[in-house]
Amino acid sequence: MKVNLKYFGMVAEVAGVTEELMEVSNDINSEAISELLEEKYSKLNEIDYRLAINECLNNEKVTLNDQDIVAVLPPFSGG
Amino acid sequence: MNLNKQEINRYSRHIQLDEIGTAGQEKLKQAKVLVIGAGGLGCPVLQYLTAAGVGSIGIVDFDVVEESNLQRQVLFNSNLIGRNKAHAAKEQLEKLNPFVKLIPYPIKLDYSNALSLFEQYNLIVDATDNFESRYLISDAALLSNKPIVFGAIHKFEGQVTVFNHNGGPTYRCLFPKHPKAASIPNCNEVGVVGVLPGIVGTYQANEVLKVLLRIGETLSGKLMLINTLSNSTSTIGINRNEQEIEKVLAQKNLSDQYALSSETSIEEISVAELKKRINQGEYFDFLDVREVHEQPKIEKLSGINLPIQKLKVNNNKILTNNTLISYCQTGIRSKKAIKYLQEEKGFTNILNLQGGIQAWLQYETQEEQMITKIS
Repeated sequence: MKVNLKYFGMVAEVAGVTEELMEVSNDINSEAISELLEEKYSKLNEIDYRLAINECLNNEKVTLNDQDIVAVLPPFSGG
Repeated sequence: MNLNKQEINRYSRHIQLDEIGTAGQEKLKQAKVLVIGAGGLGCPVLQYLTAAGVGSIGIVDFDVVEESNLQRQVLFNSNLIGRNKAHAAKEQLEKLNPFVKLIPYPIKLDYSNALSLFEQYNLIVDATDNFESRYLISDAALLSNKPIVFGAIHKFEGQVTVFNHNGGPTYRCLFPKHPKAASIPNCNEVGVVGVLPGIVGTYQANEVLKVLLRIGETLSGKLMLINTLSNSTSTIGINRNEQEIEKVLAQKNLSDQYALSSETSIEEISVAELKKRINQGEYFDFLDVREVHEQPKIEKLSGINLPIQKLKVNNNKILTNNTLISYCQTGIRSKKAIKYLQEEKGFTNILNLQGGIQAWLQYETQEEQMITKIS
């Protein structure tokens, strides 16, 4: 199945794109998505971020479905 | 709190709205809002809240207006360069609306003053530019039960939300961990398009009015993301994280330690203290982590100049015969340098110069003024 990744702030800079489709295994959960992302973009290890699945930030692990939207959100400090 | 004739005329476009009316405008007049940070976000927030007739507005900022601020901090102008931002903002805003009580606090918000300051206000606006303040504001607002209207920016992107409102989430529910110090830069380091804080700050002002007036749907529990390059906005739902909230509520007082628990502890020295110790004959080694071109160079603080990027390859040149003082323009980069040197290189006995060269210069100006007054 495929999930739709959306990147923000520093995460988008590290990835070099603001969104992309990623082929993932069918029963993948949010934690495993993080691992995949950090494997693909090693610099993500240095950034704190949260994952929002279908526009909702979950405090627990979530199992993903085909075509889910995963937003990768770093904190912004500027003002 | 009744409005006088002149106020009724001034706020007539508000009063015409069914959602506001005279009663709403009176609510605004009664309200007390504390704006922390009179920078990129703080300027538009302050301008719109003053114009809207929020009765009392506190302005917290220890910093001074710099030329490089004027590209985005449109409340200020060239004549105000060098002035404290809280005082300069008050002066400018008074011209906009004489019916608003403006209270400047030219201080740094910290663990000793946050709670007593928050007690005096109904709502807190987080318009700061660093994580330490953001966690401090979140914790202090939770402990004093005040809502926060939050805004943050990065290059061309912004985040806006309302925290701690009607049982909604706090900043720690969104980002429980204090970010790794060096991972997320601020505007002074990476740049920011000037219009962005104008947009984000204006959204914040709008949320403040909605919370005060109890109209519409606020961004409580929702993080609004704005991208000015793609003109896209999205909203992400945030849930309360009871565990994180409990951790904060469990402490009776605020302490640096908790907010910085994921950080190495970094000791700081104030300009006054450093000067005193130098005058007493103590020797220090100095590490200037600013870029080579950054001015001014201070003779009394001369030592090795190693910009933060070069620290990793050249740290063997740093002298450590005496206590090492790490400094930069404002004290932020020098903290990162200390974090790196302590964690990766095992350095001890390093102090961060609080407020950096800016604080040094400000202190010297104050000293001169004192001397002129005396003579």
